Amino acid sequence: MDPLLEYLNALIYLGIAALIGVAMLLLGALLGPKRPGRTKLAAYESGNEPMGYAKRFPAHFYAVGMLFILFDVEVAFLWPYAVNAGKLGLAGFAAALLFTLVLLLGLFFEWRKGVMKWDR
Amino acid sequence: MIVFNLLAGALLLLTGFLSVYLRNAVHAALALAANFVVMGTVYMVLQARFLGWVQIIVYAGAIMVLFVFVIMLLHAAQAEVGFDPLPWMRPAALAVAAVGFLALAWALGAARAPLAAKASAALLKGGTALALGPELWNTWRYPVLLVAALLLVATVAAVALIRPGKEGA
Amino acid sequence: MLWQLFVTAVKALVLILALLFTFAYITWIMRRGLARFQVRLGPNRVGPAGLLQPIADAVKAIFKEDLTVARADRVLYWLAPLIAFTFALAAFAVIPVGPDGWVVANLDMGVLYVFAVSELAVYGIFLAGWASGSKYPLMGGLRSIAALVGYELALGMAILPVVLMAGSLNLQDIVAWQQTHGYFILWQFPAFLVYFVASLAEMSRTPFDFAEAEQELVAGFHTEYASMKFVSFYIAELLHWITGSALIATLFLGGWAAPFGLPQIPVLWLFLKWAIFIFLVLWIWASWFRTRYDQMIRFAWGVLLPAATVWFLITAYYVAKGGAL
Repeated sequence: MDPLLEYLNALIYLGIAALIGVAMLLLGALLGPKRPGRTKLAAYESGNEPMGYAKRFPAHFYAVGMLFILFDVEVAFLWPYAVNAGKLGLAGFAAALLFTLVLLLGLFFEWRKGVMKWDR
Repeated sequence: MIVFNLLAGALLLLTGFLSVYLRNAVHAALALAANFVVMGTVYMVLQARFLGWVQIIVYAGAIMVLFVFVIMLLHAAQAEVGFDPLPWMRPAALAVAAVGFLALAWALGAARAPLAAKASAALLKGGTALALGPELWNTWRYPVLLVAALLLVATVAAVALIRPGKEGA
Repeated sequence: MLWQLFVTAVKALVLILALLFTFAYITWIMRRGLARFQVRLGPNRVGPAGLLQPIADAVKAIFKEDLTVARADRVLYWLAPLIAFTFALAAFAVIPVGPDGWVVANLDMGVLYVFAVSELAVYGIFLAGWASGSKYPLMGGLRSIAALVGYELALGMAILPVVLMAGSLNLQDIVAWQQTHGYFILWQFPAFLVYFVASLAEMSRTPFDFAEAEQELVAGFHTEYASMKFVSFYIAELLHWITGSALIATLFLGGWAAPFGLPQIPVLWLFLKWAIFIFLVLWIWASWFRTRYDQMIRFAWGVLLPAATVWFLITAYYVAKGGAL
C-alpha cells in the first residue's frame, strides 16, 4: 500500500478534530446568554483597570528562540542517522560524534557566557 | 492527487500573499507559518517525506517562534504603517526579487533534464529518514560536518548579539 | 479507496469521542485524586461518588456567556482555542492501541508527526495570550513558548536513543521491537527519565505549570477567556496529559503489547500502562512545588539537553558496534 495513504488518514483525522472544535465553539457561542457591558468586556488582567499595553520583553527570549532553531536543526540531522546507525557502523558513528560534540561545544559556550542567567 | 495539487497551490499563493499584504505583524507571521505547513505537505506528496517533516518542524515550529519573539521585542505588532522611512527600499526589493526569480527560472530550466533523469521514484524511496541516512552520513558526510561548524558559528553570533551580563541586556 | 477513507473517518471519530470522554472523566479523577492527596473529599454530590459531575460541568460551560474582550483581536481570539484543541487531539492519531489496523494513521515517520504537532500546538498558547490584548496573558503565552522550546529539544533528544535501537520512526515498529527485545524503560532508563521530566513540562503540569502561575500571572494565557473557548483550552491542556502518558507508555513500556505472555487484547494493555503514568503525574502534581520560571529554562538547557545528548552518544556507540538488532 502507498504510505502516502496513511498521511491522508492523518489529514482526515485532523480535519474531523478541527470540525468538532468548531462545533464546540459555535455551540457555546449560540447557546450562551448575550448581555455584554462595558465593565464586563474590559480586560480582566489583574482585576484592576488595565493601563497601556505590554512593552519591553527581555532580549533573553530572542536568545532562546535563536538557540532553539540551531538545536532543532541539529536534531533534524540526527533523525536520519538514528534510523541507520547500525548500517553506518563505526565510521558513521565517528561523524555523528564529531557533529554532536561541535554542537555541545556551542551549548557549553552559551552556558558559560551566562545566556541562561535571567535573574541578574 | 490533482485536487490536492490545486488546493495546495491555491493555499500557498493565498497564505504567501496574505503574509505580505496583512498590516498586522502577528497576522502576517501566522500566514507565513500556514504557508510553511502547506509547503511541508507538498514536499511529502513529492516523495520527500522527511524533508516535509523537517520543513514543518524547523520552519513552522522553530523559525516562527523566533519571528514571534522579534515581533514582541520590537513591539512591531502595533507599529504604525504608512510611514515609510526608506522610500528607495520598495523598488530595490522589487528589482532584487525579479532578478532572483529569473535566476531561479534559468537554473531550473538548465537543470531540468538531468534532474528528471535522476529523480526516479526508485532512487527517492519516498525520501524517508531511512533512505536519506546513508546519503547524508556517508556520501555527504563532510558537508554535514560543515553544517555543524556553521551552527556553532551561529550559536556564537546569537550569544554575541544579546551580550549577556551587560546591564539592560 | 472510498471505503478506506470511510473506515478512517469512522476510526478517527471513535478515537476523538473516546478521548473527549476520557477527558471528561480525567477531570473527575483529577479532582477526586487531588482531594484524596490533600485529605479532602472532592466533588461527591452529583450522582454516585460525584460521577455525574463532568456532565454537569459540561452543561454549565455550554450555557455560559461567550465573552469577547473589547480589546481582543477578534479573528485570532477565536482561532487560538481552535488551534490549541485541534493540535492537542492530533498526536493520538499515530499511537497504536492494538496490532495492524488499530491505529488511525500508521505513519512511516510517526515520531516526527508527534514532534511537529506538539510544536504547532504552541501557537494556540501564544495566539491566545496575544489576541486577548491584555498584559498578563501575553506574558504567560511568551513564557510558555520560551520554556517549552527547551523541553521540546530535550524530548527530541530523548527519543533519539529509542529510535537508534529500534531503527525506525514508526510507532508500530517501536512497539514490535520492544516485544522481542524487552521494554525500552529497561534498555533506556536515562532516556526515559529525561523524556518523562520533559513530558511534565510539555503537559504543563507541576513542577512546570508556570504558564498559569496564578500567583504571578492570574491564569496565564487563558485569563481573558470564558465559556466554550475556555473549555477548549482546558480540554487541550488535559489532553496533553492524556496523550503524553500514552506516548510514554508506547515508547518505553511496550505500548499495546501484553506483558508476561498474557493474552493480547487491543486497547486494554495500553490503557493499563497509560493509567500508571496518569497516576504518576497526578502524584507529582499533588506533592510537589512549582519551579521558578528562569530556573525551569536553565534546567532544560543545562541539565536535560546535555544529559540526553551524552546518553544519545553512548547508545549510538553501542548500536554502531552492532549491539542492537
